[in-house]
Amino acid sequence: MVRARHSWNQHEDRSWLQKMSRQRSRRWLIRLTVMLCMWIVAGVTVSTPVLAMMPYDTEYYEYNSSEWIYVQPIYVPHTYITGASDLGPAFSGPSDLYITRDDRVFVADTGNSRIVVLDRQGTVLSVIGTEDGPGKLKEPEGVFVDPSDQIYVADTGNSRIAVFGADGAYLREYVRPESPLLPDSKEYFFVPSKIVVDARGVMYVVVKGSYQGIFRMDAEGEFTGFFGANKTPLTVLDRLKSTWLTKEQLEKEVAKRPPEVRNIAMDSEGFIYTTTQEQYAGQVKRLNASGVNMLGGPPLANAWLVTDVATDRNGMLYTLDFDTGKTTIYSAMGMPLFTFGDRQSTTLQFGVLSQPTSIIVNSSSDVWIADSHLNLIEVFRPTAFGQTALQAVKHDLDGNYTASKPYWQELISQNDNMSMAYRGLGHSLNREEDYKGALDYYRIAYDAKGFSSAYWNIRLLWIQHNFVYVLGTLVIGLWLLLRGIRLLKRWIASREWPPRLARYGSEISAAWYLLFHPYEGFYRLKDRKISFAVLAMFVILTVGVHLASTYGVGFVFKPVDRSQISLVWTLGVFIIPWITWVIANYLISTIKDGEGRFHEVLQTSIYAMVPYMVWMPLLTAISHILVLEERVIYDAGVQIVWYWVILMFFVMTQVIHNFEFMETARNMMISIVTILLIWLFVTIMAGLGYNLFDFFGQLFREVKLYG
Amino acid sequence: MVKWLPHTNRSRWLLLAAVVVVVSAMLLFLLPQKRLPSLDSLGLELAKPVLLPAWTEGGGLPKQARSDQEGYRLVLENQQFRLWLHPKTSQIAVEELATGLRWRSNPREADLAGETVKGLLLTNLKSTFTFEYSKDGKTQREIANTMNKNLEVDYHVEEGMVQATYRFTKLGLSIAIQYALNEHGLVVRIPSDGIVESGDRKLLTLNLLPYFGAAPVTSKEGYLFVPDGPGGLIYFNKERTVTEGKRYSQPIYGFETANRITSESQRELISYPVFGLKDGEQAYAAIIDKGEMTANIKAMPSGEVSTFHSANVEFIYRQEYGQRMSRLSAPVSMIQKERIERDRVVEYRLLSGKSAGYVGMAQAYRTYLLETQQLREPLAPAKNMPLELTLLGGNARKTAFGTSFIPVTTFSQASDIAKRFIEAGAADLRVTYSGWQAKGDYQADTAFTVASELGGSSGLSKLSEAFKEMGVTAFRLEADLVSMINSRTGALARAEGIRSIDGTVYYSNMGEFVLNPVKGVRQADAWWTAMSRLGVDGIYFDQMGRRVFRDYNNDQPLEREDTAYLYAGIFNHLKSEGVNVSARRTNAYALSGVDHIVNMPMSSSHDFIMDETVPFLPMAVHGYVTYSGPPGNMRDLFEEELLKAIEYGAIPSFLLTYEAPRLLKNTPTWGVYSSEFAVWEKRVQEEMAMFAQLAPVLNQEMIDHRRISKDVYVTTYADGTEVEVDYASGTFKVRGGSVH
Repeated sequence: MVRARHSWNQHEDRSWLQKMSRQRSRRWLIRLTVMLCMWIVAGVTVSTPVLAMMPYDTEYYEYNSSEWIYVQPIYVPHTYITGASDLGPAFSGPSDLYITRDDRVFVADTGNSRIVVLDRQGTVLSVIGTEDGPGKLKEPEGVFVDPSDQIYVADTGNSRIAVFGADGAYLREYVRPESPLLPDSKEYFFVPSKIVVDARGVMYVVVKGSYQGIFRMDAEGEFTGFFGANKTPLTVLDRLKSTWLTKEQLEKEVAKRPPEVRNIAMDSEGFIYTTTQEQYAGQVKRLNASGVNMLGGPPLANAWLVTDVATDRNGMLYTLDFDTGKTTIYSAMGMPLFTFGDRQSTTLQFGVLSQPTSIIVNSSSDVWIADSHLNLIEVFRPTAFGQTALQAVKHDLDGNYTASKPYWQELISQNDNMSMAYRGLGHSLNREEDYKGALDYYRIAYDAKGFSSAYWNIRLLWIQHNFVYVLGTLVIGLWLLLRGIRLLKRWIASREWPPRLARYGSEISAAWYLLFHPYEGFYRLKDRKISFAVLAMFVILTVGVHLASTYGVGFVFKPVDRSQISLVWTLGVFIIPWITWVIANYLISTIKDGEGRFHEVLQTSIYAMVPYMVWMPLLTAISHILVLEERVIYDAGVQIVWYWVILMFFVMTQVIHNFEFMETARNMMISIVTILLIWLFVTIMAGLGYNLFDFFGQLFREVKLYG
Repeated sequence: MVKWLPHTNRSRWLLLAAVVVVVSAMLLFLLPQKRLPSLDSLGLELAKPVLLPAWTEGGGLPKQARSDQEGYRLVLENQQFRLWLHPKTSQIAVEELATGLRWRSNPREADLAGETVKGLLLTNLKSTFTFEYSKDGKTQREIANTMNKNLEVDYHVEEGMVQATYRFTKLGLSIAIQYALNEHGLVVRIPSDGIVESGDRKLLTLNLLPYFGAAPVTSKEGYLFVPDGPGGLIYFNKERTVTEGKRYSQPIYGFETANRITSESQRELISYPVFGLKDGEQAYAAIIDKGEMTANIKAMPSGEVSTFHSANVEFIYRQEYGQRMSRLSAPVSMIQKERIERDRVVEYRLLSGKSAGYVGMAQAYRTYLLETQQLREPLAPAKNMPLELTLLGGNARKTAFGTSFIPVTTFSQASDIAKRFIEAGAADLRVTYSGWQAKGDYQADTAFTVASELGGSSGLSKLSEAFKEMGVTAFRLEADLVSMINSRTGALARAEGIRSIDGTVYYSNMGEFVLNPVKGVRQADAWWTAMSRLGVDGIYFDQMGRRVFRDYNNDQPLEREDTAYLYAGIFNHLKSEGVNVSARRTNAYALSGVDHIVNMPMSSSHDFIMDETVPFLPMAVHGYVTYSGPPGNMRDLFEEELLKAIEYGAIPSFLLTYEAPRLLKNTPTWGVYSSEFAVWEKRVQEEMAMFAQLAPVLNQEMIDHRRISKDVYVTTYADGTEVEVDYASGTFKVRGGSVH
């Protein structure tokens, strides 16, 4: 797709960038910096009051087309926190953040082996775990604070969980418990990296390098089992192997392990969120107390290397992706809404991340992201537009369509491209029983579900008002139609026709006959040479019907902008199989002693499409008055038509080539295989041709360059 | 034997008719090419650059010259300055006679005592330039400087100029640097003819005077100035704990289009070749006068490569590029064979006392622009604040059968919009009409065809009449003529597209090609002829003001300088014919040819290193050319950016459509999120009212800018008018001056 020059926006279109693999190599600069008195810094935070050109893109998820589309920023870089204060130096590799209900932020400052407590402005309130003694931390990677303000630290370097009181005083520690349920200590190392604690004091610990799942430990430090483990991804090859290989062979295979849980978070209702990387589904799970994933919805988009997840007070999900540096906001149901952010191998700009590790959302919806390479926490603040959008979505998801209406209207005045907003307004009007208005909004939004429900009401009202007329019109119309056909037939029979027209007429009526008497019909066609004009007409008619049903089907069945449906593709997928079938069928039958000649195969293959030609227009017409719940009528109709067509092809093969039933079935199968082989051959030839072409081009360029 | 047709009257007529048909067909075929004006007729001949002379003989330093106690010899002197040169180290120092202050090319020996770096980094501190070179055919870069052991330096003084010729005997490289004084300070030149590569070592880049005026770590009151967006300051007294982005290094006017290798995040490209340094009461603004098209501006705060704060320019002589051997494999990194043969000239304008600061630097740059005729007459006094209105006509989108044009503002709707604003009191309304080409962005040729869906040529002609009647002060049509969508056959790109360094037609990542600038400017002039016939009185250039690139086409290779020359040239040519020219994000070299700058950079790139953003560029050009920031309806942060436009002296601008812009979905237009006239009409009027009181300062120079508290900034104009903007309360005040 070309989205080209007319960026009226500040920046250039960079959608191509997303496709580019990012350069991972990091050229380390020579660093000779002597950091003297790093902690004697006047301002902890650096505020940048005015930002205009964002160093990253913001996109929203267009759920109809499953595309990300540019919008104005919903979050802007607001300030960054270095962590330097008179209590200690700047952060060094901060790797986890925890936010309390009163917006205090706890930072696991791994490189400095401490926990830093910040207020909502980012000012350092206290530092924990630096004093020598039992409470001294060593490279902690996780922190959690329970409702009684006890601070649980995943003290990774010391292989323990350390607990501190609200005042920061060391209370106790939990080390690897003894349990027969645990794997051998030579195989399983207790290296906690993240932790959450539930209301009962049960600790859920992410243990590094552990595929068994989350390590669960009660308040006494007893191991109570693994929790929320991932499943081993099984490929087709794995299945084959397990079927064919012997037990000995299988043992030699490298054991497939489920991917390990990387991070953990807990929301206000006690649900536990886990993240897993390098999965196409289940990157983020919302686990209930029994470890069942409650997060439905499609696999998360933009989430290959989810490094952390957070929820805000409205239950929205914020994921942070390590690979792209993007923060993606999902509804509580897991539907993607917005994404923003960027990551570069050489990060120069505030707002662009380097090695993002952790994300939290505070009570005023500010997003805090820790970056372990840049050694800071970046704070992003929602714009007015972002706040409106998030409020609108929240009310909409709550089903509070009256409350969401003004937000959607405001949103549209700032961005009128978002189908989400039109759908929302559709919901509002639907609730207000303004079905016509709702219908218009749903049409703009290409929202089939909403459209269908509004249309249902409109149709109901219409039928209620016009039932008698409808019935009357139907009866009279049917009568007129039947009468008309009878009159037409009589008129045709009564007249003397020129021989050419008479021939065409009989050829067309042969098609009609074929519809209900396939065997007899094809027998009659077998030795007959159908005129070119009629064949051409049937081909054009069939293709025309196909186009009409593709472009003209009811809105509910294809809620897309019709002008964007590719004509070439639509024709290609229809005509190419048809043509290859004719060729393949003819080729096979000549080998397999079929009787049919080429022109017979061709003409009967065209006649075999008669059911499609006749019934599809009817179905397409009906699709306009159906709602989504009645979809089955249309779908079943289409299926019946296609089965009918396949049956016609079967009969055609049998009759034309004078095969027996089983012979026909076999030949049909072989024909289909031949079709696939023809396609494969064409594809390979095209690929080789391109390679050859490229080879000569390359040779030419090298000769030109070095010659 | 050929049997001739019988010579009847009828056959003669037939023959004649056939001849007429053939000839007229040929004429029709050939004429469109002939219609384009030649470069000569536009006064834009492409000539080889005239290179500065370099002396090959070394006459030595004058024997009787005065020496100071550090061993510097006095080599040049004018009314304001003295140039001192140290014969042994070739370091220089410029002394201001009035104050006795010295600007040194390198830190003093005494200041180097506390330096912790060693080896090459330490000798760099003592060098007048450093350079990168590589062995012929290799990509590995090596660094050398003027403290090299195998170095011979010759001096030559002539015509108020001193030349130091550096011969790196082992490397087989010779580089000449020339110094001269003018009334503002020091001029440094690197003549292209002074560079001699006699061995297999090839010069890649050269860092000129890397530590000129460098401030030691003990300096607390000062900053480095870099041209990031409107202007960026890097303070001395900042501790930098963020791991990345501790130095600034950016190419002037952006990376080379045709051989860009790496990707980077979005940022404001440098649009004027100036950097500076302020250390206490001493400062300088360095303006790159020649050779800025292939140069980087670098700024290193203390702690990055030494304990000194420094800024300098790095000239590129050979570029690295990705050679694509095959469509299927990744490009191979290579280094350009031929050296870029351009002179490099930098003016260091020395500032002391009160003018030592970014305000003084901006004034120095303004003086430079006036001296070099890049800025001309000041604007006429304005009674009313102008309103820059861009109307977006529409765009085409692909359909099942070709393309179809989606109009969002027809010509008659445009007329209605303008009328409404004029009735609401817009006395100086300037309209730019964009998106008028028949096939929108899918137009695969350079023909001047107006979309009939908008009203066609006649509609446009009527519109310009209507505009004149209602008193619209300028009516411009958009012209792009830089990047284009290819035709289906690709013929246009092959014929007119620029070539990448590897000789193939260059295509952007979006699959567009770039129209050859020679063709582009000739076409622009032809377009102007067509436009003026329709009563239009200006052109808006979307890309010509901000893009420079090379064309590696063997028939007529173009340097970045040539591209800039052609684009700036067509602006000036049109302007001299009375055309109202506006351009988006106009780079410095094109300033002289524009009446209005659209989307002038107003914000920084958010570099971690940048501590403050200042209106350097607005201060340099205000009063001579009008400019606007992003259109009001395209602001990311509405209130803040509105205040910034006021602080920076911009004029209000909006981009509107009559219909909802969502109709443009699936067209190449993107980024217009909200522009419907009905939605914005009131807000535009509100903004006009807000800006109204700023009209009296429109033609005045901006003489001062300062921050008086955390969120409050004051901009001062020549007549004493002060504009105070308070970001915390979201208000602004205008006071003082001759009017208020």
